[in-house]
Amino acid sequence: MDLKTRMSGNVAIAEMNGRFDALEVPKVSAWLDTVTDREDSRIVVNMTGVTFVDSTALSLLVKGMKRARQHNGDLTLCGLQKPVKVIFELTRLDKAFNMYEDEGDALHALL
Amino acid sequence: MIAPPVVHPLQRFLDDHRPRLNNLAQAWLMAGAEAFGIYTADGWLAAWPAVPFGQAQGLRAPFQVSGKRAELWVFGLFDAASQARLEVDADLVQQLTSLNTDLDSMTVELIETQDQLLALYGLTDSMRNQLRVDKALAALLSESMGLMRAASASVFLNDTPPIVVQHPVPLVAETMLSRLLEQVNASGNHVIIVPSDAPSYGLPLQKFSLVEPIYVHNQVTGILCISKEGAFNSPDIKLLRAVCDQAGAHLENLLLYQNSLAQARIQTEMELAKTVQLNLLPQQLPLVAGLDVSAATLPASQVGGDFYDYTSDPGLPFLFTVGDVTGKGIPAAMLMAMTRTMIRSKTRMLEQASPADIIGALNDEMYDDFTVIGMFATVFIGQYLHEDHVLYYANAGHSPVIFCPAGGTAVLLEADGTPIGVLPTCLCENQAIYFNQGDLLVAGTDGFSEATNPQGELFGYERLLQLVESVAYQSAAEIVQTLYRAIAEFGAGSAQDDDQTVVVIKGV
Repeated sequence: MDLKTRMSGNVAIAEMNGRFDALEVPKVSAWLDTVTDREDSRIVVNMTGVTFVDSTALSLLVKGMKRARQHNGDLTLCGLQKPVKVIFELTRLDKAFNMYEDEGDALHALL
Repeated sequence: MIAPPVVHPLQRFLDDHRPRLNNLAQAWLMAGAEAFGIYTADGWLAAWPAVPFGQAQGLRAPFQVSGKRAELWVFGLFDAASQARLEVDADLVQQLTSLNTDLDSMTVELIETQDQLLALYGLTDSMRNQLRVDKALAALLSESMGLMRAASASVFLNDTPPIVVQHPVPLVAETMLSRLLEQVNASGNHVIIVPSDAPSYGLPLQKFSLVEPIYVHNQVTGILCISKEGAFNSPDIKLLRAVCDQAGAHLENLLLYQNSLAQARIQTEMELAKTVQLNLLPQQLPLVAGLDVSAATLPASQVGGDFYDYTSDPGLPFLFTVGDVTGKGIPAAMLMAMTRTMIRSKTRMLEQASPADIIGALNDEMYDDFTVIGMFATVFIGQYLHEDHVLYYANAGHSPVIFCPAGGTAVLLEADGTPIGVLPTCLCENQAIYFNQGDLLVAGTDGFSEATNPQGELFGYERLLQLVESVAYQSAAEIVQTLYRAIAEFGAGSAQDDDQTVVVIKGV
């Protein structure tokens, strides 16, 4: 899985593709640690290229979302492909995350 | 190492060849000479029969021994033939003494080589007996100091944290040894620090220091620094190189051994954790009026967070749980144990608790714990009321849970609440289904739906629904076996990444 990170204003964006599973979690975790450890941490995880998410990866996203909210920010998701969206729906994590169609919508919601 | 005694080379020659020199002297005496002798700058070394001090006249022939002048003397003969013969004798004596000197130096070299071989053997032997890196380095230090007749020595291994061993006392700062390692690494060779530079390195004053790299897996991982009086010569450097090569090879083996040991220890702990975890699961199937119940779990190689449980206390409805704490390893196993215990406790504490009540209380109780660890758990709780033939359930993010009414189509019972530990409040509703004879509920974990085949394809929900529907006529125990068999056949030998747990409830 590739992980590309960048900033858009004060919003940290991660773009991933491929399988997001336990093998990939450490590098995403390291990035999340840096961006959720500050006040008003606003994060967008662009999952347009992600084809599969396992439970360890879901845990990491939940952890990041909770930390961001503790710091009065949020971690939002965008661009979920159908199979990935189904995983979020079956676990009802779609109720926990703010999810958007694309990165533009996600950025707009965070501004 | 044995230091050879200092003996004048000609004296050695006399000691070794006295019978032949006696013969030479006798030959001259028989030829009419009054006396025969060997003279050096220090005086007469030998004479036959005695030095004729009264006579200063005689024949003499000079020769050199190890750069020192000596002479053969013959008294009482003065002819040219005798002079020529004496010169030939002097030349022979010089050749013989030269061969003797060569033999001596070869013997010394041989002894030194043997000493070095013995020292290397001693080093190997003493390091081999050490299974701890610091002890092995101490052995290296001790043997190297003996070998080099060094005044002090340090060994530095760039581990985490760095390991430093010094003798006789910690003379050199760790930061300085680290700097020397970088210098040796940059040069790719040993470094010699002369006495004038010693202070800037914090090395022993007025000493020469030799810093040799220690290679582990082709990387400069450590250094051996030896300080002594006098300069290091080429054999010293070669010897210390051999010592460090030997030490590096041993350290490689030692680190490999330690890694294997650590892995074996972790593996043993994991196996223990897995055993503890399996023992937390119900060891017997419950007997419930109106239901045929079966359950099983197949743990993955790494300890995970799947669990199932039943409570069938007298007077209370039959209650069962299937859950999955995300992640793997000891934290997941610990949270699984806590979650299971908390569900039991809430079930007994809350009077007439419904599945949604238990899930709500569970989330309230464990939200902070899950937040600290950074995990969550999906939980499905079912409650069967035999008199009413109703199954109440609440589902906090758990899947797959499949309901297949007798003769009907299998459907997923989707969750309506978020998993435990995701949001501060988990708003699950109680759901109810009629549960009559032939109706089937299969509550599994994602180890089934996410099982993969060698092509990386997921087993998926569609296959699972079809499978459940096709085996709905079987008993609960048979369905459990069929599910595991089908998943194993689909996997075709692929590694099982996740626990596979299932509870099957069938109306009878």
